[in-house]
Amino acid sequence: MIKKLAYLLGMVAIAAFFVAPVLYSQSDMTHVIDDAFVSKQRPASIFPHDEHNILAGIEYDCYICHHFDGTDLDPTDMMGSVGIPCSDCHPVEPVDRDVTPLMEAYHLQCKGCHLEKGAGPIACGECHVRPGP
Amino acid sequence: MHTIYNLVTGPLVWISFIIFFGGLVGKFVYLTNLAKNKDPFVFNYLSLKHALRSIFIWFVPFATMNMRNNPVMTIVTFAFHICLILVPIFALAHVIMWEEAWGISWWTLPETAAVIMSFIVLGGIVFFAIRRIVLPEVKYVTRPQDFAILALVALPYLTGLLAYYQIFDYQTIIILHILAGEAMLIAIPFTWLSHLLLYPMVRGYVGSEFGAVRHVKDW
Repeated sequence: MIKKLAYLLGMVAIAAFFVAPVLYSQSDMTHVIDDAFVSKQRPASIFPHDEHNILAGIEYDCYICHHFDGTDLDPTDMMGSVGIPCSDCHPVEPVDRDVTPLMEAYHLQCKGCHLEKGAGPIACGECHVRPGP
Repeated sequence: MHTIYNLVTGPLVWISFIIFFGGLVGKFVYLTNLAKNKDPFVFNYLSLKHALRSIFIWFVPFATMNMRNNPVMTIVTFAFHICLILVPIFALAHVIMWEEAWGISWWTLPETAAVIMSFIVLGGIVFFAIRRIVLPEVKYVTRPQDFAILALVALPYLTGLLAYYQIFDYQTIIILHILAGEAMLIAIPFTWLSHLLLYPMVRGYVGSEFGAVRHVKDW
């Protein structure tokens, strides 16, 4: 009985592991559109969520971008802060000087990683692409 | 893209700023020593009060007779110089890059304002170029390299606008834009653009001689 239950739970865990990325996939996401920004100075950054993650090989590692506790990544929880809006921790204009402002957080997150990996867009207009005429 | 971007936004920025500031300091030291040896009286006449007074008055639009006699030139040159200096320092994208590199940040221009001001800079350059061709007294002292300098100054603002509007291949334009800005910084100490330094030096001396020695206005 116990063996059966463990087997079942194991199956559920394995299924969850493979289903989770599908559940949290953002196949319709093409841009970073964050309503926390009131006055938008540039066009929204292009970001095809799923395509990016396949290219970057981080489909199952949500926590790399959806992180917790500053730069201290916690890979014990693969889901990280999925579901929590970035601006909950990173206000556009934080009161606390130690908190990274929202725009800087995005720039650090995207450009910082791209520079580190030597791949991906890094100049302003490579992400903030103007919609064609 | 990564290699060239890292090069133009890294080592080349350092080299440009070092040559820019080093060149200006070197030029100041060199000219001061030259004056000490050739025209030592310059230092006897120098008067801080009259030097600063002259520099200040020549910074006020229409405060001098020369400016009142040339109203169009006065308006264009003030608009041109103000925009030329403010845009690179306060453009949003530039401040973000300072913030990313050094963690320092300051007030930024609204994007539309920066665009309009860049157009004013380009308009000013067209005006100066035409002026060099049309006005006989200016044409007489114009050398071919004066047009090259105007083009050099136009380039960062032109490529800045092209990058902003994402006209032509963006990656090429943004690299050209950064290189153009660096070329302009490097050229300042060694070309006519050194009036950034020579203007206050000459103004300060003339103001001193007119104010402290001849007791007349130099404006």
